[in-house]
Amino acid sequence: MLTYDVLVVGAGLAGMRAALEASRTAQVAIISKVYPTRSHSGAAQGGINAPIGEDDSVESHMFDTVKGSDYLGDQDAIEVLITEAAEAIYELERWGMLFDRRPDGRIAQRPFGGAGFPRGCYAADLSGHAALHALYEQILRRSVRVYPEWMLLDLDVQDGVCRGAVAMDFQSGRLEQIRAKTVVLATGGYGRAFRKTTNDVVNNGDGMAIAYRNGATLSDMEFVQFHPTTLYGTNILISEGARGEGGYLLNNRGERFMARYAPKFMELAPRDMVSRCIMMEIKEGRGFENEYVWLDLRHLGEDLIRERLPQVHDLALRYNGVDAIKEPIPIQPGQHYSMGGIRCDVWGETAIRNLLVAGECANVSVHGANRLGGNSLLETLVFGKRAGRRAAEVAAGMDLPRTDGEPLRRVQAAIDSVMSGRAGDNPAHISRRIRDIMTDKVGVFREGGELEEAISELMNFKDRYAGIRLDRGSMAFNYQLSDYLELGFLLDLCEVIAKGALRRTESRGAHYRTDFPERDDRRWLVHTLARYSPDGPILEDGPVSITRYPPAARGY
Amino acid sequence: MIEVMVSLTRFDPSHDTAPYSQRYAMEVRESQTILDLLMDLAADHDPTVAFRRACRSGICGSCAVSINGVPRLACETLVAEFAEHREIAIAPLPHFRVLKDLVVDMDGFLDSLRNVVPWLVLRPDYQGRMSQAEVRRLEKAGECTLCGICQADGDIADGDPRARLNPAALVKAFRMAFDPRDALGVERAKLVRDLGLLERPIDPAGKLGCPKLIDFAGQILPELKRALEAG
Repeated sequence: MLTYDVLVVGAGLAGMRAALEASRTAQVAIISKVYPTRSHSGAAQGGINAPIGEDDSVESHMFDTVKGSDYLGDQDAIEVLITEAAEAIYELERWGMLFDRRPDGRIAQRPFGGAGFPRGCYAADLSGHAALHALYEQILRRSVRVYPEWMLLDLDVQDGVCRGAVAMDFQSGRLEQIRAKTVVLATGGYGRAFRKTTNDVVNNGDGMAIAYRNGATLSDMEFVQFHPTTLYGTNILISEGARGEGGYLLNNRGERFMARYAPKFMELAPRDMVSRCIMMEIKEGRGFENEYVWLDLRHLGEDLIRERLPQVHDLALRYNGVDAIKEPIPIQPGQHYSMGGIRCDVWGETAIRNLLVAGECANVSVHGANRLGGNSLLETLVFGKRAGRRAAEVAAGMDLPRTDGEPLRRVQAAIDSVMSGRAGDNPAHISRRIRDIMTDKVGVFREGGELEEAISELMNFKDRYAGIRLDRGSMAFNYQLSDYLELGFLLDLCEVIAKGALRRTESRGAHYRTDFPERDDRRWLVHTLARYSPDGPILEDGPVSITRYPPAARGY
Repeated sequence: MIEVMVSLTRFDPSHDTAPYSQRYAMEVRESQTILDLLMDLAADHDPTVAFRRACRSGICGSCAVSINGVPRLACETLVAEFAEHREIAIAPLPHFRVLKDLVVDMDGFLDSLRNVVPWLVLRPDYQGRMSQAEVRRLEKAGECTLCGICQADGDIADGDPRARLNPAALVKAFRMAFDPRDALGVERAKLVRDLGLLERPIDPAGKLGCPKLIDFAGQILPELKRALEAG
């Protein structure tokens, strides 16, 4: 059995940041489903927020984040996020991240949605890629042990204490149990629950579902971010940086329609609003082919597009044959990010002792009902570092936890019984149906009756899932098995998302109920907490931390 | 929709003695990528096929394979390119050991980065400023996704010791050597020279198939050599 002080699961920005911090004092390993540089953090484009501009302030960034969250974000956590933002940026800079620069040589910043100042620090429109590789370089430098292509299968939780994990070495198909004093989950989101998503194929909410099944609390899962500008056809991300640099959104009459909805912020209103506005335009017949609107960059000029938005230019050209220098880009909203996640405090600690979380899989909560562009990379750095620090501190004060080989034997038995000869549904086909249900009925606009339909269909697929059996095939690189396991994670999470959305009879941030179109602070200024039971999630209210900014109307 | 014939190179070391080709007739859309095609193939035809996949948009470097003999990213290659011949042969990257079907062993490729001190060694006098022109110079090299195509597309025989050092390591060396924040600077050029990397033959017209169009022959190699001459 492998043994470490701290085991980090996931090698995106949050996981690597956590591992770097923990490795200062502890023996650390990372397991990751993909090679670190393949992690989905690398697909982030726009930038990382920090209030480092002359006229900007921590207070201003805090207020924008609170307002952007539709007052559901925990203000104590938001204060930590913003107070530690500048340090996170300068740390990354000293580790070699290639930020774009101002004429005076300092780090340049661009505007993002819902923000009073330009505070997104960026590397053209490849910010996530640049940051991910900079952290990977540091992982190499510190010789942190990485087990690439190891998939988390379960946590070793006994008596409410996490003692390690069980993983599958994908290259051999062998199961391994890892004993650790503390475990940090940084496993990202669940975008593959939706047909229209910017997410990669790896993001199936593994860590969220596994923590939930083991007794951790999920919170605010009904808050799903739909990014306004994803490429029509593939739903590949087109950065908010494109609007930050001055891009327009146009309907089929050539109108900058955001003027009607957000006269002050226009295209740079927060993502939840802009996505709804685009869907309204399309619904009311002002879109194209009833599917998309235009993102117009032509007036920005070729030089700016090539210099600051090279990836956006490439993507539109490659996948849609559209040259953004000469033509507008067809875009539509698509699932992008999970505001909800595993409930934790500002040090990443969860309801399970010695299990910590950071990044998209966590819910601290700094994004509340709607995340601002540029705040997610920031969250990975600030809270990844904190979780890594706390994980090492806790590990330093304890002996290795007692455990035996039972967790591995349990997982092995479950896999053996599934791989007993193909029977039942094709998991890939159930997966497609789930993604349709979530996109069509648990999407940008939601309504009670449709949510009930979605839940009953999901429950039906959950039953059918239980009857699936797979080929007895060779275990190395068995994608059939990983796809099957991932579908199981998604089914659990979709149920929590849809049931939370049905329960919350109000509209707040990214959760919009056409049958309850108003925000209702008297009843719903609360987090939704979900705990696992064999009969489905137990949903309860949790308090929201409000320290400085009382809830107010949210105009842009 | 068009019908295409996909021939896939299969190999499962647990029971195959040699790779073989398996053919699948598939209905596909021209706007699909080869990665989409592979995912459909696994979903509807044969769930046992192994291939790496992640971002779908050319930024993660996972899905490099050989398509009709050319190493490229499956997610950046559209079916439309093959609409005429309708024959699509998908094989693992050449010059890499095959682990299963289209999945190759990346460890040697990634480990060879370690030879070039692949991280910034911060100058103690760095004051937090650098010029945008300096950023621009390094930006392209910074786009490298470590996909492995440069190694697969190279013309060094597998037995040649220089094959252990791949062009991506050279790109990383360049990326760091000319970063004004870096304390090693030109010493890095000496390091790659001593490793024999600068002698690596690179077709002056070729970009080694790099999906990011990093210019080995026009930028990376000559600038490192110039830095050496300047001392």
